[in-house]
Amino acid sequence: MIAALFFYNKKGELVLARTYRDGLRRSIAEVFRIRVISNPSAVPSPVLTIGSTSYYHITHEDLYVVAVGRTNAAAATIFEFLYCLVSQISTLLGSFNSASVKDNVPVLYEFLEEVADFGYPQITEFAALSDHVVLDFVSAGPDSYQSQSSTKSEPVKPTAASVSWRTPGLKYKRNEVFVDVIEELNCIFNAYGDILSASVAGKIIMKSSLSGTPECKFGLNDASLEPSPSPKSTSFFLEANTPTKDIIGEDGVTFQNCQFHQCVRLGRFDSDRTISFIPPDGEFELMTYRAIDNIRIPFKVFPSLNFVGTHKIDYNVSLKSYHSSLTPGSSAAPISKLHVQDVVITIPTPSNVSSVQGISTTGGKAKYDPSRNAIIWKFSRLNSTSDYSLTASAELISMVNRKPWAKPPIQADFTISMFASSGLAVKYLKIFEPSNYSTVKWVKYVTKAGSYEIRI
Amino acid sequence: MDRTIKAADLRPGLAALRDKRDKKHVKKCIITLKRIIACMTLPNNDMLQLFPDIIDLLDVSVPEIYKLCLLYIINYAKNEPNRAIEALPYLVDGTKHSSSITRSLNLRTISYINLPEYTEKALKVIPRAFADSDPLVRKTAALAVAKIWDRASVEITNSGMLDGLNALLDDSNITVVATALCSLIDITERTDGLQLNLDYDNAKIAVKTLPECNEWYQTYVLQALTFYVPQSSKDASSIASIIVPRLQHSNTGVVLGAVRVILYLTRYITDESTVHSLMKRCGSPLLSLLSKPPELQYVALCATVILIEQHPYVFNSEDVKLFFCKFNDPPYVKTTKLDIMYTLTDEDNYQSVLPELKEYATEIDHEFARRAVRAIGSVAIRVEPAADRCCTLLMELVSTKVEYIVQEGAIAIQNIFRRYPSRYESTLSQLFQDTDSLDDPRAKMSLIWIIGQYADRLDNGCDLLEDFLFSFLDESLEVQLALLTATMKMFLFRPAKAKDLIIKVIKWATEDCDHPDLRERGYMYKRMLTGNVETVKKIVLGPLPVITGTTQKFSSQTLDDLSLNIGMLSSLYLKTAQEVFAKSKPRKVADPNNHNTDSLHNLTSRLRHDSLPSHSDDSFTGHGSDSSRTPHISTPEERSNVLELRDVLNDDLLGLKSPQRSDLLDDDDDNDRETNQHLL
Repeated sequence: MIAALFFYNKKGELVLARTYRDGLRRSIAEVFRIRVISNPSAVPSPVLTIGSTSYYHITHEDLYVVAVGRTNAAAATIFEFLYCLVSQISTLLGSFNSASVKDNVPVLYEFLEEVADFGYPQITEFAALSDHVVLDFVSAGPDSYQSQSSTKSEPVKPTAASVSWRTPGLKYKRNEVFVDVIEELNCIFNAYGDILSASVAGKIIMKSSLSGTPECKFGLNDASLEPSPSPKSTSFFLEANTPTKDIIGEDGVTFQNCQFHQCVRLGRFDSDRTISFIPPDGEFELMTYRAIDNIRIPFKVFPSLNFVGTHKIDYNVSLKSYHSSLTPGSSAAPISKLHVQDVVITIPTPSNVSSVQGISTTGGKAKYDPSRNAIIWKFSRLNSTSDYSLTASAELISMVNRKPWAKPPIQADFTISMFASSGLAVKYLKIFEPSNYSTVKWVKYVTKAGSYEIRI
Repeated sequence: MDRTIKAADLRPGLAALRDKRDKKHVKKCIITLKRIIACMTLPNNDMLQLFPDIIDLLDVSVPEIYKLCLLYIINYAKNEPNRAIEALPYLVDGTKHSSSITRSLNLRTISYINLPEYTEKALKVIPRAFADSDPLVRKTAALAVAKIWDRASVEITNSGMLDGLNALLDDSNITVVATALCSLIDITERTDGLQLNLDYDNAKIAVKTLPECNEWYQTYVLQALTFYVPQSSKDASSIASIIVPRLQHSNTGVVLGAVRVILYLTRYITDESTVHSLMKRCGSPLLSLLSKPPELQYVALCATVILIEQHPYVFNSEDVKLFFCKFNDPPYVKTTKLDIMYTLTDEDNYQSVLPELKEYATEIDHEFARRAVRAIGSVAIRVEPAADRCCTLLMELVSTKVEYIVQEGAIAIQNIFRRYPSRYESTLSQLFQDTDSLDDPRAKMSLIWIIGQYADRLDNGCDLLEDFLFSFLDESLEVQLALLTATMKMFLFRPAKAKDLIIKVIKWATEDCDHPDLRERGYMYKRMLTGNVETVKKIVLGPLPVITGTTQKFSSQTLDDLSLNIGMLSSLYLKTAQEVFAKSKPRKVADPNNHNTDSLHNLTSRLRHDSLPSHSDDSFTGHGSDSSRTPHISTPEERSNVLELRDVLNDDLLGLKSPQRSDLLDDDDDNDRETNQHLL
């Protein structure tokens, strides 16, 4: 599948190269540099095919990660593999950029050899490969693999085991599980406040330090199930992060689709919607899901731009906090107290602005940032009952060649803790392990702004 | 990384290993070796001098040192084959080591290095490894066969190693099975005479292993399942239903692999409702893939394009909103989303789609804005209730007087007039006010056609036509033809005013122009002018066939091939695999009635692709495309030309032919429209 892997830096120098197949000339590395790195703006596709050689490329920080193929290969798998490499190497070395690669060439060669045999990805979890990769590495930060693995005992060879994501025989003094429900709210509004499209892309991240090989069962308020019974077995602490009744949706959540980590038994989910799995050690993304019904939106922005000739724009932007459901036909209860924090509204301005005068707001702080061509309006905390507005006036320099302004949308960024915009709630998390230890479980809900665009 | 490190400086570091007095001798040696490896990426081959020293270190039992030496040897074996051969005995010994990791490592290295002596040894070592007790070694052996295939295919076939590989498919360990499948697919795809076949039992075993494998092995197993030919509809649907849970996987490769297999199996399922429900299950996962990084989104979007061509019901009406473009999407993602949005527009959702298209038409990116305008026009043709709104939108856009918008808008409006002949005449005068100076020949042709068609409704038609005629001799052929026809029509409606014009134009066409088509038409009109007016009117002003805008985007053969390649590279170009890679093996989808009951265990050479009879009415006997159809694209210039060609063909995005020839000839030409292949 993959004939070679190349890592280039932004200047086009080859930092690392690993070939898996014969018959490749050195010049193929040059071709990529000339065609893609030299003119990055004209990239028509993430794959460049010249003759019978194709270059699948992604970028990460200051590196280009390129896979070269010479056949009609599975493009989806190759891109997934590239992203997987990026995340594994980042975890391994603490960061993945040209400096960290330069410091760790030998171990990366080893890693690349173990990870893909003859260009076919095999096992990519570093935990499973730790026995194969004998060299140690220079880690760039406290988050790297070495510092995390201090509590691990001697790993047993998993090699060709089917549970390749978990090494057996782990032991922890305190068995803990942290479940983070992180939702990203993606909305597009038009200038009048109508919702053009709204969806929630959520993911559930689980961080576990559990001994042995536990079987876990995870229950959500999935609307397609009948109401499930209350949890019986192990105790279920929910500390201060409990979602209160008026935040959870009354009916369950209807998922449009869920995608699961490879450890989840998909067959069982398909038959009776139970999510059962053996979790990998440490942090991993259990599932991602999508919801489009009954989404609660924290606020709306109403922009009003007045173009006075070609030399001035008057901005009048109002923000309305809004706490009942806005999607039509939903039955979710209105929320009384939402903790909307770290709100940043980015109001774009044209690039030929000379100055922005008279910025006044009825709440929050606003500042014009010339480097980003935008007025940045910040709130540390939004009061759920008030409305806010901002007025400003931007003076424009008249230019000879006036390119029309692209009018990028207003972007909003925020974080809402203890709130899941789709109404999802974790009902139970049961852990079965032969030694039957007790586990401390924590659940946290966070809703963040994904791509929250308000068109001007 | 010092560039001034010389090989000679590093030699002492290597030799330090032998110096047992130094407690840190191992560490020093390792550090030196790491520096050597780090220098391997440099273009000079200075480190080659150290080859003998490296060979000396191979008998050391420190795993780090051994591994580093192997990395060195792999890199430089080509440059110094004789030295590399010296290392061979150590490697062969290593394949008998007690640790399975070491055995596997050595086996891998032996099969990787491309030297005749190595290949010879590999042929001996691999069959031994097939019987190894550790699954890791067996797995490495499976892939090793594929590695040396190119160099030693004859020896491999003769020695029965392929049978050994086949036997691994019954292995107790699933990763070995999956790797063996992977290896077999690799070999058979590269070799013309071999074909992989699975029967029902093999397929069932393979499918049962899916939940236990890790994500990459799942992709190999799924790929292998596309080589299974179901014998009955029941078999096909049972395998398909077991695969359906894979659609919930987080890895795009697994999801698209599952979609590919399910789509393939639906060819053999006779029950419509089963097919329907299976395909419906594929829709939602594809939508979830839209939250992945842009490259993966792009692959998923191309898969969506292919899927909705065959099974448009996969998505609901309201799902179209999820394909709305975000501002920061890269251009290739936006273009594909726009295309999908267009295809999914129907009478229920056009109200939300059209404002969105209008937004896109006002974007800065010219190319994208043009496509959006084209899409609006095409929606009007295809979705009748939307036509009014589309027409209003287009008039608004044209009135913005932005050049490229006006041109595209003109073409789109002409298509609307063609489709709904008498509906929008009120907008005519407004249209001509807004479109005074145009460059694009297609836009001119559109307006000229409108003038000709509605010559009786336009008061100032003659003046408009005169403006266009001013530059008649400088125009391109299509514009000249359009002008000729339009002037003829104008004359028929308003003989008094247009008399001078028609005489002038015919004179130009017949005397001053070189092109035979134009001249012939000029002569024909000249003669018609002397004939019976009524007959002439019937000919020139005859009714036009109604255009529908529902032409197929791809020919059925292309679509066949594309659906077999969902998630693969060729689907990103929306062309058949043969067109993208001329050397790729043509995929024949076997007709089950003709199925040879060879099981997986019988891989002798068979020239299958020649022996399949052709069933002209069978929709799933896909004939591989002739390699004579499209030349192999070899040079970068040619490839960029192809891309430009695609863009040009794009203009006829949805199969609407602008009338380029006179109405007289249109009746025959309209049949051609159905076979027009349109590329994205």
